[in-house]
Amino acid sequence: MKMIRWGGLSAIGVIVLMFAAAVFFAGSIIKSVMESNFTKLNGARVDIETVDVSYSPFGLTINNIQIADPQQAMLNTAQIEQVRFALSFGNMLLGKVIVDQASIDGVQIDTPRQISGLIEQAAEQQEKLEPEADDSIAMPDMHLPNIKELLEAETLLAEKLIDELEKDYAETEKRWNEINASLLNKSKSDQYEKRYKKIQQDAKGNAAQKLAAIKDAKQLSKELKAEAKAINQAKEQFSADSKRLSAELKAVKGAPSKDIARIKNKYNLGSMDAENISRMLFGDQVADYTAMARQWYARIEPYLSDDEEAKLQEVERGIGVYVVFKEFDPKPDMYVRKASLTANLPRGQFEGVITAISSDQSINKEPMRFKLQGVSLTNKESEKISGEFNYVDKKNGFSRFDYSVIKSNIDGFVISKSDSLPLTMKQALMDFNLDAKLQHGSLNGKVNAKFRKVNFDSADSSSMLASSFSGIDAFDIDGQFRGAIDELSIKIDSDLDSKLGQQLKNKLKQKKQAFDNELRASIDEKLKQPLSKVDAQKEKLDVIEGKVDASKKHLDQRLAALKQTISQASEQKKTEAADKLKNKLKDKFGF
Amino acid sequence: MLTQIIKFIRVLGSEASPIQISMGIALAMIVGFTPLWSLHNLVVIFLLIILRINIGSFLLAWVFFSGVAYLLDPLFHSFGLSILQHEALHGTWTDMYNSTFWRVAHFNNTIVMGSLVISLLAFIPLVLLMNILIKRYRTHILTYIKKSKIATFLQSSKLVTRLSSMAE
Repeated sequence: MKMIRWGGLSAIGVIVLMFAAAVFFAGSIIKSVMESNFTKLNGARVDIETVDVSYSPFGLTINNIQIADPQQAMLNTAQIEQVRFALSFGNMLLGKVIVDQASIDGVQIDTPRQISGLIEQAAEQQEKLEPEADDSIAMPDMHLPNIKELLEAETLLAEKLIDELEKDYAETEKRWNEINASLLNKSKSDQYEKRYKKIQQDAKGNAAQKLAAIKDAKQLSKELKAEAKAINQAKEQFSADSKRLSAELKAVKGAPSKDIARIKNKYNLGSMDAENISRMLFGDQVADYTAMARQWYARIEPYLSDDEEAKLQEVERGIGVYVVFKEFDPKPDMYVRKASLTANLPRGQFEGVITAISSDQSINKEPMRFKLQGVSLTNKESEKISGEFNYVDKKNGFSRFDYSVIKSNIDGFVISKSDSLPLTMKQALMDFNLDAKLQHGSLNGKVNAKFRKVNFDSADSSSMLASSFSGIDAFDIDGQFRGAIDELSIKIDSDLDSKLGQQLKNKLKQKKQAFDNELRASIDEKLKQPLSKVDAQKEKLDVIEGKVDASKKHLDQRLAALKQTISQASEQKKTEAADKLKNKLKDKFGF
Repeated sequence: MLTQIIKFIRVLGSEASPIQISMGIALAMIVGFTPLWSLHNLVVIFLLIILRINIGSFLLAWVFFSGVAYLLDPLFHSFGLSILQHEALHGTWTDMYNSTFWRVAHFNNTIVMGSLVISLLAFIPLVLLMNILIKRYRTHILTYIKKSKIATFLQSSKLVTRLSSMAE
């Protein structure tokens, strides 16, 4: 029996031919797979022009990679002219991309695209997105707001208090009128007066009349005391009301000052002084850099975060479990030991090296580091950027960036576009250093910029502020930032403030004072009419109180007179009784 | 199912040698028991194409052993796991784990390991057993059936003709 099936060899030949065909089309297949996977990862189109495959050693050359910006359809986040690398074939069979040496040439950023980079899903999502609010730092402005418009837009505390006071006055007036009506009125007063006069007459009459007068006087006195008591109670009520109304009036009068302080604070006018000039001037630049940092963080954040949790392997029917053993040289699914890089950026040509690019640093136990340095730079002596993405310990991973520029020629650098102080640094020589560290979503760092041989140019050269800059030929800026990437707390210090001089401070102070005065005058004018109404209401209450006081005074006088009448009548009665007894004794006994 | 049985009976009664049929069945056991997309199955397929092994018996037995494998999966897993976790073999497995070839072969998968070891252990006994059974079937049962009157009658009947055509 023949053991070999010769016909089977032709079948193997067919398989080999199929494999050869696959190898022939490998470039196209890999290009398609790469584009699809990278697009998915990027969230926007990643286009590759061609992929060339070499087999000895096994390697790929990827030409013209365009990575679209998910936020801007017609812009590439990066465009790479060529990427070349040799792959470990064995590891590739295990699903790993292990590269010993790679070269990335001709990197450009923010290049325009010919076709939209949005993928369908992202385009739909973008349509739904609300326009992002402008969250740049609120800068104190040299331009003071229009007081009329400002007061129209603001609800003053004084107005609110005046409204409340008016209501209180009206209620108090109503209450006082009611009390006043229940007190001694004219007819009652006339009756009392009539009775008083009769008592006065009777007091001068005979004994019987005197007796009647005393009796009536006591009765009248009792009734008048009751009236006086009611008046006293009313006065106590009036006093309490007056006290409250006075306090409210005092609050009303103090309210304009509070309103002024609040308005100044709200419109950031309180901090408008020379100490903040550097922040005012460079705040826009800082806001721009902060926005850029946020943009880049959003781009790299998906690659930094590690949401994968260690999953327990479950025994799946027909699949089993892969038992893991110790690897002698563990490597993650994607690892590039060293990649050289050349980039053509708008600021010049850069060369650099990136080491240990890894999809999981906890496996290869080394952080990714990069270092880029400008070569053949114009307008600057050197420019370097280096950094480290250290996520070996996933829980405490961090990213660090260092950036420095030495002797950079500044030419026509617009510092402030503000209408009140348009300022351009016409020429300067700058040294710049930035150190930043991002850990647990918090960015901390410091910036130092030294400006020498400075020549400022302000379009508004007539202003004192603008002319103050003309004498400054060197200054330093130190900045510190800290906090969550989208809520950075930024502190800027500069010797520019002290150099701008006292003159500028005084000018600013005067400007502030004039604003304060004008604001106060406007508020006072606005409150004039409501306050006069309040004054009129107060006068009405004063009249009521006056009337009550007069009644009280009259009553007191009458009570005193009655007391005197009773006393005199009683005395006369006693005298008369004594005289009568004396006469009787004289008649009877003759002495 | 009936078609498969008829096909198998036809294979048993064909001119193929017993060893060709037994080898086909034993190789089908390896392919059927172990996960299909494994490196060792390429070797099996290569042998199947190159060597004169009965492909019909292989295909029929593959279907049968694939069904049996579904039932035996838990056994394969626990057997494979015990082998892979065997202390004495740990060094060997670690060395193999660091070799690309063995990693591609998925040797560290419990089902691959368990089913492959079981099927390799059963390979030779199965070849020998099937060889003996086929020979005996041909000597005793097939000869007897062919000589019987009922077989002569059935061979000429329409039912057998139809079943035969279905089997083809």
